[in-house]
Amino acid sequence: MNQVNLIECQGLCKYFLTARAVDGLDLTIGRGRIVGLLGPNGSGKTTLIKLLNGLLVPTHGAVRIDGEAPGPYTHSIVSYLPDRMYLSDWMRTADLIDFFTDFYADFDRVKAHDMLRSLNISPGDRLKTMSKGTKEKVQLIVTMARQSQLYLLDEPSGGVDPAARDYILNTILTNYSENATVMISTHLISDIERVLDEVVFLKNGIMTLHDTVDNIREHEGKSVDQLFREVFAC
Amino acid sequence: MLIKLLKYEFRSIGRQLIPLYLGVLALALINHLFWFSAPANSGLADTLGGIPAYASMLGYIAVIVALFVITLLLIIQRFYKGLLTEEGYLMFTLPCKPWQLIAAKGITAAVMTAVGTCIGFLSGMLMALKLSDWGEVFRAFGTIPWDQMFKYHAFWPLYILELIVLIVVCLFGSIGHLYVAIALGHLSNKHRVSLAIVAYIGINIAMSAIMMAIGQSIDIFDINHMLNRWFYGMHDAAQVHLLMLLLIVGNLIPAAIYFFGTNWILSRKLNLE
Repeated sequence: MNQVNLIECQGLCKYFLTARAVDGLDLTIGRGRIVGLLGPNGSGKTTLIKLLNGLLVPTHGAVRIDGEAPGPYTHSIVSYLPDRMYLSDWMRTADLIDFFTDFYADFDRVKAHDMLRSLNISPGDRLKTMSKGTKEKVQLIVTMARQSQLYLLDEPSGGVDPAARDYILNTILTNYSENATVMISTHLISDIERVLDEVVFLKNGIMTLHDTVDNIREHEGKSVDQLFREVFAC
Repeated sequence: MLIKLLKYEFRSIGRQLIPLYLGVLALALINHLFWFSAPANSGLADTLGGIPAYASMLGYIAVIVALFVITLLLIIQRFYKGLLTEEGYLMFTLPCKPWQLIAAKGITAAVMTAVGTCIGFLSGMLMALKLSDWGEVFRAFGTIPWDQMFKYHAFWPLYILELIVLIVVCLFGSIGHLYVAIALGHLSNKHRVSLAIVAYIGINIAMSAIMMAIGQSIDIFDINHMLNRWFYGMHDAAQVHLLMLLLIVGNLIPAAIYFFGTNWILSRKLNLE
């Protein structure tokens, strides 16, 4: 397809019984960008990423990735790292690599094995016996070993120690494919600010800001982290 | 895609079920040695006060029960846990359609049930039949008058085919009933399991009510006289084929509704919380 805009949301809403998780979102993201999806807990970041992945169906509005509604085509070009463990306990690392090789034409198994080796994870290791941190890294590795057009990373460094955070950020930056867009949802802004091209601020499901990091620094005269603390001050 | 999905489904359940199948067959053989193969006066079943013999029989009964309970639990767990909890984040972002995910789970569940039933049946035969009895079984097959059967019931293989189709349709209907109830349950954010149970029972009641309504409407409009005249005017073989066909269609309709209903919910109302 290769549309100019990789992500297009028009009047996107997702309402739950007790909350408006995403409310009237109009958003366009191009290619080759690193985008920070920023907001406090409960601001709608995860809901938006789930809508982009087709894991939730919009209440109103439309979402398109490379011109298509979420479905088999968009799944083949989007690499998704959820904020939770999705691994099947019965698998060994090698099974997981085979699984991704079977289902994703853009999966680079050599790269995946290299990354696993650098962490001393062997193909025979059972996922069931791994620590939570190791499982998170394995999920990150299979996500980043794809040569996708869009990487949707939901809280990739949430809940891990600073050393692991460095590893995660480094893995993301050194592995995403050329001309791909990376959307990272997080509230740990200081960790990723230096690599971001654009930021999207979400507050109670409403987009309050979408701008480039350079514009923010130039016009506001402050870092994204400082602006975030001001906008979302309790 | 469906073939790839099936490959991983079978690998997943095989790890749990194959040891169980082997356990059932092994215990059947042990019981055969204690109870059916030793000469009556050998006293093997009374060794150590009969404890090993009775323990192996109890063990056999326990694994047979476990085989059916685990099969049922696996059918539910592979669908619910595999699609509607954390694992769903991976499965629903694969480049395939929801119907393929449902079909892969359904086919695996049907095969699990069929193989489990065959293993249960085979273990009973292994336990009870002596080596000489097996010879009798095979000899009995050889004495079936195939030519006579073709002479008097030219389409008898069709009966068997119809029976197999009916069993398969009923099996998929039962699995679909479970799946649609679980899919309805997942629409709730907090009470998924209880809503699924309510949905299962509700569907059961609704289906019974529909069947009763169809039966009563036949009575009310006095169609049964007309149907009886038409039905009893047929050849015997045609009556059986017609009945089988009606049973197949009657079970296929709810099975299709369950499948399309589950697909609609998981395509249009997916709610992975």
